[in-house]
Amino acid sequence: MTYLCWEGRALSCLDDVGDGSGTYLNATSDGLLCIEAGDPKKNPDGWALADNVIAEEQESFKQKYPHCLPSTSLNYNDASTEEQAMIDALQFYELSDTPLVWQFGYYDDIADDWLYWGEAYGEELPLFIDRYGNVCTNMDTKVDQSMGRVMLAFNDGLFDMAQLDIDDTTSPDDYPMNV
Amino acid sequence: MVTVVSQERFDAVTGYQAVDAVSGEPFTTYWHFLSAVAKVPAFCNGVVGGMYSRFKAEAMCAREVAGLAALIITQTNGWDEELVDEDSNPVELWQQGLKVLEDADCDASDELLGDYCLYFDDPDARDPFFDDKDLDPLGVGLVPRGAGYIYGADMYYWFSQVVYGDDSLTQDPTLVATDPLTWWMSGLMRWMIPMMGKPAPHNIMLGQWAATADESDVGLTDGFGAVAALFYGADQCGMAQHPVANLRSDVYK
Repeated sequence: MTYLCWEGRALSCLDDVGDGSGTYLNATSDGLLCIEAGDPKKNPDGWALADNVIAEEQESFKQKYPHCLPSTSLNYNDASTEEQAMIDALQFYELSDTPLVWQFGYYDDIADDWLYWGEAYGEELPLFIDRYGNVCTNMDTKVDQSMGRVMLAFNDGLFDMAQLDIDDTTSPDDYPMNV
Repeated sequence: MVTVVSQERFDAVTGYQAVDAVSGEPFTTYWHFLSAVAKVPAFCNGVVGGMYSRFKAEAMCAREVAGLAALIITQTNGWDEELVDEDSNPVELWQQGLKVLEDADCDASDELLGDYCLYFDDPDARDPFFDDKDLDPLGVGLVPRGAGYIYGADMYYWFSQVVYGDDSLTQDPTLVATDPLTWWMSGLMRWMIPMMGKPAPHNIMLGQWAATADESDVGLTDGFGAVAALFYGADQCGMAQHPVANLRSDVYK
Protein backbone atom coordinates (compact mmCIF):
# COMPACT_ATOMS: atom_id res chain seq x y z
CA MET A 1 0.00 0.00 0.00
CA THR A 2 1.30 3.41 -0.94
CA TYR A 3 0.39 6.26 1.38
CA LEU A 4 0.41 9.87 0.40
CA CYS A 5 0.85 12.78 2.73
CA TRP A 6 -1.87 15.42 2.96
CA GLU A 7 -1.87 18.06 5.66
CA GLY A 8 0.07 15.81 7.99
CA ARG A 9 -2.19 12.79 7.55
CA ALA A 10 -1.42 9.57 5.72
CA LEU A 11 -4.01 8.60 3.17
CA SER A 12 -4.47 6.04 0.47
CA CYS A 13 -6.33 6.05 -2.80
CA LEU A 14 -9.79 4.42 -3.05
CA ASP A 15 -11.19 2.79 -6.17
CA ASP A 16 -14.40 3.94 -7.85
CA VAL A 17 -16.45 1.46 -5.81
CA GLY A 18 -14.74 2.19 -2.54
CA ASP A 19 -14.03 -1.40 -1.49
CA GLY A 20 -11.13 -2.42 -3.72
CA SER A 21 -13.30 -4.24 -6.26
CA GLY A 22 -13.38 -1.43 -8.81
CA THR A 23 -10.79 0.44 -10.81
CA TYR A 24 -8.30 3.01 -9.64
CA LEU A 25 -7.71 4.34 -13.15
CA ASN A 26 -9.45 7.12 -15.01
CA ALA A 27 -11.43 6.55 -18.19
CA THR A 28 -8.35 6.68 -20.41
CA SER A 29 -6.26 4.52 -18.08
CA ASP A 30 -3.46 7.06 -17.99
CA GLY A 31 -4.01 8.51 -14.51
CA LEU A 32 -5.46 7.81 -11.06
CA LEU A 33 -9.09 8.71 -10.36
CA CYS A 34 -8.45 9.82 -6.80
CA ILE A 35 -5.75 12.29 -7.77
CA GLU A 36 -7.63 13.71 -10.73
CA ALA A 37 -10.76 14.30 -8.64
CA GLY A 38 -8.86 16.37 -6.11
CA ASP A 39 -7.60 16.23 -2.53
CA PRO A 40 -9.68 14.75 0.33
CA LYS A 41 -11.40 18.08 0.94
CA LYS A 42 -12.79 18.19 -2.60
CA ASN A 43 -13.05 14.46 -3.10
CA PRO A 44 -13.74 12.76 0.27
CA ASP A 45 -15.01 9.56 -1.38
CA GLY A 46 -11.78 9.08 -3.29
CA TRP A 47 -9.47 8.82 -0.30
CA ALA A 48 -9.15 6.76 2.87
CA LEU A 49 -7.41 8.39 5.83
CA ALA A 50 -5.15 5.97 7.68
CA ASP A 51 -6.04 5.72 11.35
CA ASN A 52 -3.46 6.52 13.99
CA VAL A 53 -0.86 7.41 11.43
CA ILE A 54 0.78 10.77 11.13
CA ALA A 55 2.53 11.41 7.87
CA GLU A 56 5.94 12.89 7.62
CA GLU A 57 6.91 14.62 4.44
CA GLN A 58 9.78 12.86 2.71
CA GLU A 59 12.58 14.59 0.91
CA SER A 60 12.61 14.11 -2.80
CA PHE A 61 15.55 12.42 -4.52
CA LYS A 62 16.75 15.81 -5.71
CA GLN A 63 16.63 17.21 -2.19
CA LYS A 64 18.52 14.25 -0.76
CA TYR A 65 21.14 14.02 -3.51
CA PRO A 66 21.43 17.41 -5.18
CA HIS A 67 24.87 16.92 -6.70
CA CYS A 68 24.68 14.87 -9.88
CA LEU A 69 27.06 13.98 -12.65
CA PRO A 70 26.77 14.68 -15.47
CA SER A 71 23.48 16.25 -14.40
CA THR A 72 21.51 15.83 -17.58
CA SER A 73 17.81 15.15 -18.00
CA LEU A 74 15.50 13.90 -20.69
CA ASN A 75 11.98 14.83 -21.63
CA TYR A 76 10.19 11.50 -21.42
CA ASN A 77 7.81 12.26 -24.27
CA ASP A 78 10.61 13.33 -26.59
CA ALA A 79 12.92 10.49 -25.61
CA SER A 80 13.61 7.48 -27.81
CA THR A 81 12.08 4.12 -26.99
CA GLU A 82 15.38 2.96 -25.52
CA GLU A 83 15.65 6.07 -23.37
CA GLN A 84 12.08 5.70 -22.16
CA ALA A 85 12.81 2.10 -21.18
CA MET A 86 15.86 3.29 -19.25
CA ILE A 87 13.86 5.96 -17.43
CA ASP A 88 11.12 3.45 -16.59
CA ALA A 89 13.65 1.00 -15.17
CA LEU A 90 15.89 3.43 -13.35
CA GLN A 91 13.10 5.23 -11.55
CA PHE A 92 12.65 2.16 -9.38
CA TYR A 93 16.29 2.47 -8.28
CA GLU A 94 15.78 6.19 -7.77
CA LEU A 95 12.75 5.64 -5.54
CA SER A 96 14.31 2.81 -3.56
CA ASP A 97 17.51 4.70 -2.65
CA THR A 98 19.68 1.88 -3.95
CA PRO A 99 23.36 2.77 -3.57
CA LEU A 100 25.91 1.89 -6.21
CA VAL A 101 28.13 -1.09 -5.45
CA TRP A 102 31.69 -1.20 -6.74
CA GLN A 103 32.28 -4.80 -7.76
CA PHE A 104 35.78 -6.22 -7.62
CA GLY A 105 36.85 -7.81 -10.87
CA TYR A 106 39.80 -9.36 -12.61
CA TYR A 107 40.68 -10.44 -16.10
CA ASP A 108 40.36 -14.21 -16.44
CA ASP A 109 42.65 -15.79 -19.02
CA ILE A 110 40.51 -18.91 -19.36
CA ALA A 111 37.24 -17.04 -19.83
CA ASP A 112 39.09 -14.42 -21.87
CA ASP A 113 36.94 -11.80 -20.23
CA TRP A 114 36.56 -9.68 -17.11
CA LEU A 115 34.94 -11.52 -14.23
CA TYR A 116 33.49 -9.92 -11.10
CA TRP A 117 32.80 -11.06 -7.57
CA GLY A 118 29.14 -10.84 -6.55
CA GLU A 119 27.63 -7.68 -5.15
CA ALA A 120 27.88 -9.04 -1.62
CA TYR A 121 31.68 -8.79 -1.90
CA GLY A 122 31.58 -5.33 -3.42
CA GLU A 123 31.99 -1.95 -1.81
CA GLU A 124 28.86 0.08 -1.29
CA LEU A 125 29.35 3.68 -2.34
CA PRO A 126 27.37 6.74 -1.26
CA LEU A 127 26.26 7.27 -4.84
CA PHE A 128 22.74 6.94 -6.18
CA ILE A 129 21.34 6.75 -9.68
CA ASP A 130 18.48 8.94 -10.78
CA ARG A 131 16.02 8.04 -13.52
CA TYR A 132 18.14 9.72 -16.18
CA GLY A 133 21.21 7.67 -15.34
CA ASN A 134 23.03 10.46 -13.50
CA VAL A 135 25.24 9.52 -10.58
CA CYS A 136 24.04 11.59 -7.63
CA THR A 137 25.09 12.21 -4.06
CA ASN A 138 25.16 14.89 -1.40
CA MET A 139 28.66 16.35 -1.28
CA ASP A 140 27.95 17.98 2.09
CA THR A 141 26.67 15.00 4.02
CA LYS A 142 27.27 11.76 2.16
CA VAL A 143 30.80 11.63 0.83
CA ASP A 144 34.14 11.54 2.61
CA GLN A 145 37.13 13.56 1.47
CA SER A 146 38.58 10.99 -0.90
CA MET A 147 35.25 10.27 -2.57
CA GLY A 148 34.69 14.02 -2.80
CA ARG A 149 37.93 14.34 -4.74
CA VAL A 150 36.84 11.68 -7.18
CA MET A 151 33.53 13.45 -7.71
CA LEU A 152 35.25 16.80 -8.23
CA ALA A 153 37.66 15.25 -10.72
CA PHE A 154 34.70 13.79 -12.57
CA ASN A 155 32.84 17.09 -12.50
CA ASP A 156 35.81 19.14 -13.67
CA GLY A 157 36.67 16.63 -16.40
CA LEU A 158 33.54 17.27 -18.42
CA PHE A 159 33.98 18.75 -21.88
CA ASP A 160 31.48 20.82 -23.83
CA MET A 161 32.26 20.57 -27.52
CA ALA A 162 29.03 22.41 -28.32
CA GLN A 163 30.64 25.67 -27.23
CA LEU A 164 31.20 27.87 -30.26
CA ASP A 165 34.69 28.74 -31.39
CA ILE A 166 36.05 32.15 -30.47
CA ASP A 167 37.73 34.45 -32.94
CA ASP A 168 38.65 38.12 -33.20
CA THR A 169 35.06 39.01 -34.08
CA THR A 170 33.57 37.41 -30.96
CA SER A 171 32.48 39.88 -28.34
CA PRO A 172 34.11 39.27 -24.93
CA ASP A 173 30.58 39.49 -23.53
CA ASP A 174 29.86 36.21 -25.34
CA TYR A 175 32.87 34.36 -23.92
CA PRO A 176 32.01 31.47 -21.59
CA MET A 177 32.57 32.17 -17.91
CA ASN A 178 35.92 30.41 -17.69
CA VAL A 179 37.36 32.34 -20.64
CA MET B 1 41.19 33.85 -18.16
CA VAL B 2 41.82 36.54 -20.77
CA THR B 3 42.92 38.82 -17.93
CA VAL B 4 45.68 36.31 -17.20
CA VAL B 5 46.65 35.40 -20.77
CA SER B 6 46.38 38.32 -23.16
CA GLN B 7 47.02 37.91 -26.87
CA GLU B 8 50.27 39.81 -26.41
CA ARG B 9 51.48 37.34 -23.79
CA PHE B 10 50.41 34.39 -25.88
CA ASP B 11 52.23 35.69 -28.94
CA ALA B 12 55.34 36.39 -26.89
CA VAL B 13 55.84 32.73 -26.00
CA THR B 14 54.70 31.26 -29.31
CA GLY B 15 56.33 33.63 -31.80
CA TYR B 16 58.69 30.93 -33.03
CA GLN B 17 56.17 28.12 -33.16
CA ALA B 18 55.93 25.47 -35.89
CA VAL B 19 54.49 26.65 -39.20
CA ASP B 20 52.08 24.95 -41.52
CA ALA B 21 54.03 23.16 -44.24
CA VAL B 22 51.70 24.34 -47.00
CA SER B 23 50.62 27.84 -46.05
CA GLY B 24 53.67 28.84 -44.06
CA GLU B 25 51.34 30.34 -41.45
CA PRO B 26 51.90 29.71 -37.72
CA PHE B 27 50.33 26.42 -36.61
CA THR B 28 48.01 27.93 -34.04
CA THR B 29 46.72 31.25 -32.77
CA TYR B 30 45.44 32.85 -29.61
CA TRP B 31 41.89 32.25 -30.89
CA HIS B 32 42.42 28.51 -31.21
CA PHE B 33 43.59 28.52 -27.61
CA LEU B 34 40.56 30.48 -26.39
CA SER B 35 38.21 28.24 -28.43
CA ALA B 36 39.70 25.15 -26.83
CA VAL B 37 39.50 26.56 -23.31
CA ALA B 38 35.86 27.50 -23.94
CA LYS B 39 35.15 23.80 -24.45
CA VAL B 40 36.61 22.88 -21.06
CA PRO B 41 34.24 24.60 -18.62
CA ALA B 42 36.21 23.73 -15.47
CA PHE B 43 39.56 24.99 -16.73
CA CYS B 44 40.14 28.23 -14.86
CA ASN B 45 36.76 27.68 -13.24
CA GLY B 46 37.12 24.53 -11.15
CA VAL B 47 36.00 23.76 -7.62
CA VAL B 48 38.87 24.81 -5.41
CA GLY B 49 40.02 22.37 -2.73
CA GLY B 50 40.15 23.28 0.96
CA MET B 51 43.83 24.15 1.13
CA TYR B 52 43.44 26.89 -1.47
CA SER B 53 39.96 28.09 -0.57
CA ARG B 54 41.35 31.38 0.75
CA PHE B 55 42.54 32.38 -2.72
CA LYS B 56 40.40 34.34 -5.14
CA ALA B 57 39.17 32.70 -8.34
CA GLU B 58 41.42 34.88 -10.48
CA ALA B 59 44.49 33.84 -8.52
CA MET B 60 43.60 30.17 -8.91
CA CYS B 61 43.06 30.68 -12.62
CA ALA B 62 46.46 32.34 -12.92
CA ARG B 63 47.99 29.44 -11.03
CA GLU B 64 46.41 26.89 -13.35
CA VAL B 65 47.32 28.78 -16.52
CA ALA B 66 50.91 29.21 -15.31
CA GLY B 67 51.19 25.48 -14.66
CA LEU B 68 49.84 24.56 -18.07
CA ALA B 69 51.98 27.16 -19.83
CA ALA B 70 55.11 25.93 -18.08
CA LEU B 71 54.46 22.37 -19.24
CA ILE B 72 53.58 23.36 -22.79
CA ILE B 73 56.49 25.68 -23.32
CA THR B 74 59.05 23.17 -22.10
CA GLN B 75 57.43 20.10 -23.68
CA THR B 76 57.14 21.70 -27.13
CA ASN B 77 60.25 23.84 -26.99
CA GLY B 78 62.68 24.33 -29.86
CA TRP B 79 65.65 24.27 -27.43
CA ASP B 80 67.75 26.33 -29.82
CA GLU B 81 70.10 28.39 -27.68
CA GLU B 82 71.66 29.99 -30.75
CA LEU B 83 68.42 31.21 -32.28
CA VAL B 84 68.35 34.94 -32.96
CA ASP B 85 65.62 37.31 -34.09
CA GLU B 86 65.58 39.72 -37.06
CA ASP B 87 67.79 42.14 -35.18
CA SER B 88 70.27 39.41 -34.26
CA ASN B 89 69.16 39.47 -30.64
CA PRO B 90 69.08 36.07 -28.95
CA VAL B 91 65.68 34.42 -28.65
CA GLU B 92 65.15 33.14 -25.12
CA LEU B 93 64.04 29.56 -24.62
CA TRP B 94 60.78 30.68 -23.04
CA GLN B 95 59.93 32.33 -26.38
CA GLN B 96 60.34 29.08 -28.30
CA GLY B 97 57.19 27.27 -27.20
CA LEU B 98 55.02 25.23 -29.62
CA LYS B 99 57.95 24.52 -31.94
CA VAL B 100 57.49 20.73 -31.68
CA LEU B 101 53.95 19.44 -32.11
CA GLU B 102 54.30 15.70 -31.54
CA ASP B 103 55.86 13.58 -28.85
CA ALA B 104 59.27 12.87 -30.32
CA ASP B 105 59.55 9.67 -28.32
CA CYS B 106 56.90 8.14 -30.55
CA ASP B 107 58.37 9.31 -33.81
CA ALA B 108 58.99 6.35 -36.09
CA SER B 109 62.67 7.22 -36.28
CA ASP B 110 63.18 7.31 -32.55
CA GLU B 111 65.13 4.59 -30.87
CA LEU B 112 62.68 4.55 -27.98
CA LEU B 113 59.89 3.48 -30.30
CA GLY B 114 60.10 -0.10 -29.12
CA ASP B 115 59.86 0.89 -25.48
CA TYR B 116 56.23 1.84 -25.48
CA CYS B 117 54.93 2.98 -28.82
CA LEU B 118 54.87 -0.59 -30.07
CA TYR B 119 53.21 -1.67 -26.85
CA PHE B 120 49.88 -1.80 -28.59
CA ASP B 121 51.19 -4.15 -31.21
CA ASP B 122 51.98 -6.67 -28.50
CA PRO B 123 48.86 -8.63 -27.52
CA ASP B 124 50.62 -10.09 -24.48
CA ALA B 125 51.49 -6.70 -23.04
CA ARG B 126 48.51 -4.48 -23.72
CA ASP B 127 45.19 -4.41 -21.95
CA PRO B 128 42.88 -6.93 -23.71
CA PHE B 129 40.34 -4.12 -23.94
CA PHE B 130 42.28 -2.88 -26.95
CA ASP B 131 42.53 -6.24 -28.71
CA ASP B 132 39.86 -5.62 -31.31
CA LYS B 133 40.68 -1.96 -31.83
CA ASP B 134 42.84 -0.97 -34.72
CA LEU B 135 44.76 1.89 -33.15
CA ASP B 136 47.79 3.68 -34.38
CA PRO B 137 50.46 4.13 -31.69
CA LEU B 138 51.75 7.68 -31.91
CA GLY B 139 52.59 10.32 -29.35
CA VAL B 140 49.75 12.59 -28.38
CA GLY B 141 49.53 16.33 -28.35
CA LEU B 142 51.19 18.91 -26.22
CA VAL B 143 51.17 17.47 -22.73
CA PRO B 144 53.57 14.63 -21.93
CA ARG B 145 52.46 11.12 -21.20
CA GLY B 146 53.98 11.07 -17.70
CA ALA B 147 57.12 9.58 -16.30
CA GLY B 148 57.39 5.85 -16.69
CA TYR B 149 53.99 5.45 -18.27
CA ILE B 150 53.30 3.35 -21.29
CA TYR B 151 50.89 5.03 -23.59
CA GLY B 152 50.09 5.62 -27.17
CA ALA B 153 47.01 4.31 -28.85
CA ASP B 154 44.99 4.16 -25.63
CA MET B 155 45.37 7.91 -25.28
CA TYR B 156 43.84 8.40 -28.70
CA TYR B 157 41.02 6.10 -27.83
CA TRP B 158 40.12 7.88 -24.59
CA PHE B 159 40.69 11.31 -26.08
CA SER B 160 38.32 10.51 -28.93
CA GLN B 161 35.64 8.98 -26.72
CA VAL B 162 35.83 11.39 -23.78
CA VAL B 163 36.16 14.65 -25.68
CA TYR B 164 34.48 13.99 -29.02
CA GLY B 165 32.21 11.09 -28.08
CA ASP B 166 33.14 9.15 -31.22
CA ASP B 167 36.08 7.38 -32.87
CA SER B 168 37.20 10.27 -35.07
CA LEU B 169 40.63 10.40 -33.46
CA THR B 170 41.26 6.69 -33.61
CA GLN B 171 40.28 6.84 -37.27
CA ASP B 172 42.62 9.75 -37.93
CA PRO B 173 45.16 10.24 -35.12
CA THR B 174 47.18 12.69 -37.22
CA LEU B 175 44.59 15.36 -36.38
CA VAL B 176 46.33 15.97 -33.07
CA ALA B 177 49.33 17.29 -34.97
CA THR B 178 47.58 18.92 -37.93
CA ASP B 179 44.39 20.49 -36.56
CA PRO B 180 45.14 23.25 -34.03
CA LEU B 181 41.91 22.91 -32.05
CA THR B 182 42.32 19.13 -31.76
CA TRP B 183 45.90 19.65 -30.70
CA TRP B 184 44.88 21.97 -27.88
CA MET B 185 42.03 19.68 -26.83
CA SER B 186 44.36 16.67 -26.58
CA GLY B 187 46.58 18.54 -24.17
CA LEU B 188 43.67 19.88 -22.17
CA MET B 189 42.27 16.38 -21.80
CA ARG B 190 45.58 15.21 -20.32
CA TRP B 191 45.53 18.26 -18.05
CA MET B 192 41.95 17.78 -16.84
CA ILE B 193 41.39 14.01 -16.65
CA PRO B 194 42.97 11.73 -14.03
CA MET B 195 44.67 8.86 -15.83
CA MET B 196 46.60 5.72 -15.06
CA GLY B 197 45.71 5.80 -11.38
CA LYS B 198 47.15 9.27 -10.89
CA PRO B 199 45.46 12.63 -10.35
CA ALA B 200 45.13 15.13 -13.16
CA PRO B 201 47.34 18.23 -13.03
CA HIS B 202 44.12 20.25 -12.76
CA ASN B 203 43.18 18.35 -9.59
CA ILE B 204 46.61 18.99 -8.09
CA MET B 205 46.78 22.66 -8.98
CA LEU B 206 43.34 23.35 -7.52
CA GLY B 207 44.01 21.44 -4.30
CA GLN B 208 41.32 18.84 -5.00
CA TRP B 209 43.83 16.09 -4.35
CA ALA B 210 46.28 15.41 -1.56
CA ALA B 211 49.12 12.92 -1.62
CA THR B 212 49.04 9.60 0.19
CA ALA B 213 52.09 8.63 2.23
CA ASP B 214 53.41 6.48 -0.63
CA GLU B 215 52.93 9.30 -3.13
CA SER B 216 54.73 11.75 -0.84
CA ASP B 217 57.63 9.33 -0.65
CA VAL B 218 58.10 9.50 -4.42
CA GLY B 219 57.88 13.26 -4.58
CA LEU B 220 54.20 13.79 -5.33
CA THR B 221 53.46 16.41 -2.70
CA ASP B 222 51.31 19.31 -3.84
CA GLY B 223 51.32 22.31 -6.14
CA PHE B 224 53.27 22.62 -9.35
CA GLY B 225 56.12 20.50 -7.97
CA ALA B 226 53.72 17.57 -7.80
CA VAL B 227 52.63 18.15 -11.40
CA ALA B 228 56.25 18.09 -12.51
CA ALA B 229 56.88 14.93 -10.50
CA LEU B 230 53.76 13.40 -12.01
CA PHE B 231 55.06 13.84 -15.54
CA TYR B 232 58.82 13.67 -15.20
CA GLY B 233 59.49 11.91 -11.90
CA ALA B 234 63.08 10.89 -11.31
CA ASP B 235 64.04 11.91 -14.86
CA GLN B 236 64.20 15.54 -13.85
CA CYS B 237 63.02 16.14 -10.29
CA GLY B 238 65.59 16.46 -7.54
CA MET B 239 68.40 17.10 -10.05
CA ALA B 240 70.07 20.46 -9.53
CA GLN B 241 70.30 22.65 -12.62
CA HIS B 242 68.37 20.33 -14.92
CA PRO B 243 67.81 22.64 -17.93
CA VAL B 244 64.25 21.51 -18.70
CA ALA B 245 63.21 21.65 -15.06
CA ASN B 246 64.80 25.06 -14.68
CA LEU B 247 62.98 26.50 -17.69
CA ARG B 248 59.72 24.98 -16.50
CA SER B 249 60.13 26.57 -13.09
CA ASP B 250 61.05 29.91 -14.60
CA VAL B 251 57.99 29.97 -16.85
CA TYR B 252 55.73 28.98 -13.96
CA LYS B 253 57.09 31.73 -11.72
